[in-house]
Amino acid sequence: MSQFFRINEPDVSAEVFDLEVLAIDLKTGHYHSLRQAAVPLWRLLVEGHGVDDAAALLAKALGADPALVRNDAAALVADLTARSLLVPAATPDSPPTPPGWLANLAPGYQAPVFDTYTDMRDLLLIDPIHEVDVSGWPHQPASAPDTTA
Amino acid sequence: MRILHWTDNFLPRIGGLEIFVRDLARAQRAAGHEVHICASPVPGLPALETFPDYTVHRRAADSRSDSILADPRSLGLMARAGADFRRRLRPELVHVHLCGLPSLVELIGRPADSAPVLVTAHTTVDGPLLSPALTRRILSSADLVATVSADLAAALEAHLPGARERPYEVVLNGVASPDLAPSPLRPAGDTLLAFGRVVPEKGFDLALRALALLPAETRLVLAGDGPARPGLEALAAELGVASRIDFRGWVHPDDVPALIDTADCVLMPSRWREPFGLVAVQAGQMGRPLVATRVGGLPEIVRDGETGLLVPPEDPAALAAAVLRLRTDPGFAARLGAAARRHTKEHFAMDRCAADYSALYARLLRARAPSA
Repeated sequence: MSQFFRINEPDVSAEVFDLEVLAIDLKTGHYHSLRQAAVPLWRLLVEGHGVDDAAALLAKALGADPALVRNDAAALVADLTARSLLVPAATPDSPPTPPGWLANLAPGYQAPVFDTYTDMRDLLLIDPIHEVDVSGWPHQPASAPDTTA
Repeated sequence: MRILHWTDNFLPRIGGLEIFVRDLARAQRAAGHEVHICASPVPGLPALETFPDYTVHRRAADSRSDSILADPRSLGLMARAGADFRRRLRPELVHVHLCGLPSLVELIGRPADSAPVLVTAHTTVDGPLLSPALTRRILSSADLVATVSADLAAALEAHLPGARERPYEVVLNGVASPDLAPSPLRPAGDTLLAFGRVVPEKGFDLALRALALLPAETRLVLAGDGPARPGLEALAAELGVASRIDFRGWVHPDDVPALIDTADCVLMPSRWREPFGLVAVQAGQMGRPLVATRVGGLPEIVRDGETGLLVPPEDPAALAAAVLRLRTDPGFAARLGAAARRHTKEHFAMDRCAADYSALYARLLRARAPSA
């Protein structure tokens, strides 16, 4: 029997972009990046499709090997639940219909990519060599005129 | 072609990258392109400013603020704003200047049917510059990655092996020609010049130690400011050369050519792996002989014995010996300066750099075009 999942709200914030799902654990500050097949799989899962159903729909839409996609989906779900981004959900009363956006996916199956960045400070630029600020580089005195573009 | 440059800071914030992007944009406009620059906000300046050669779009969120730490969701909002901006502008090509968070934001929000993305790496990752994991992520997501020197490409490959399946493209930076024509080199002149951000990596302490080994009439102008300056002033006093050094402080980039023109020799004693070496090109543009260390991308700019002299890093005696050689052989110094001027004109003109990027843009667009 297929398993169903939901986003672990409110601890997790997720933004779906065309080529990436950005999932942020608000409790830890960890940033997770889902790319390639992980993007449609995430969307299918959070729209209420079970794991097996999501894998089958994606395999069909992309003409991919159903067994391969099912294995990849299971591994991805294991990662997502281990990171507490997704949590189990109740079986829906009625199965959701296949979404229309599946028909618009770029052809070709590429295995899911799931990266985790554990320190949000890594996202901030720390550049002691080339450091500029509004006062200029290296330290523009207040008397110096701005360079207009 | 509608080109979007995606960078962190831009003018009126002043730095080497900011000047480079401005001059590249100008050259691209002169070549007939429509150029847009998306950069971090500047307090008091509007979100949109149109200039004769390009349009500047300033993002709403400042990637340097602590907002992302206070509320991690702001990363998603930044990416969403970037995606919406891209959809509105519809650039045909996006040129990202690798700069940490803004680069990442651009790639996260990249629309599926959007323009190809070229990333230029301007600096190394072997110091505390960017998170290696995030740099790898950015490099692996770009359609094409260019580096400003072959040495930088090698450094990236060494520190982030396999980040790219395809080789890096090397596009040596271009530097806009100065308006000022260089004055003739004075025979046996004794004014040395070193300039740049005053940080330990630039090795200005080595210039001071070399000065102590040179004849007493030799002077050093040290232009720039930074955290290493107090230490250098103390070292100058300790070496007994304080009276022979002019700590000039910050100099506006527009005034750098005139500053170089007053020098008889330019020193670049860097000890870190300079990814490019803007100072070397600027010295060459003004026909000044250069003594630089053999580090990073500098050997790709300076032809040792032809357009300048290269010495080992961390070696004040070698630095002093090279300066002395120029001082005692004015004809040689003049030949180096003249050759450096020709060399920089031929290889480091901004038009050449813009043409190289145009060729890469065209390659990316051809790869995206539907096959006939």
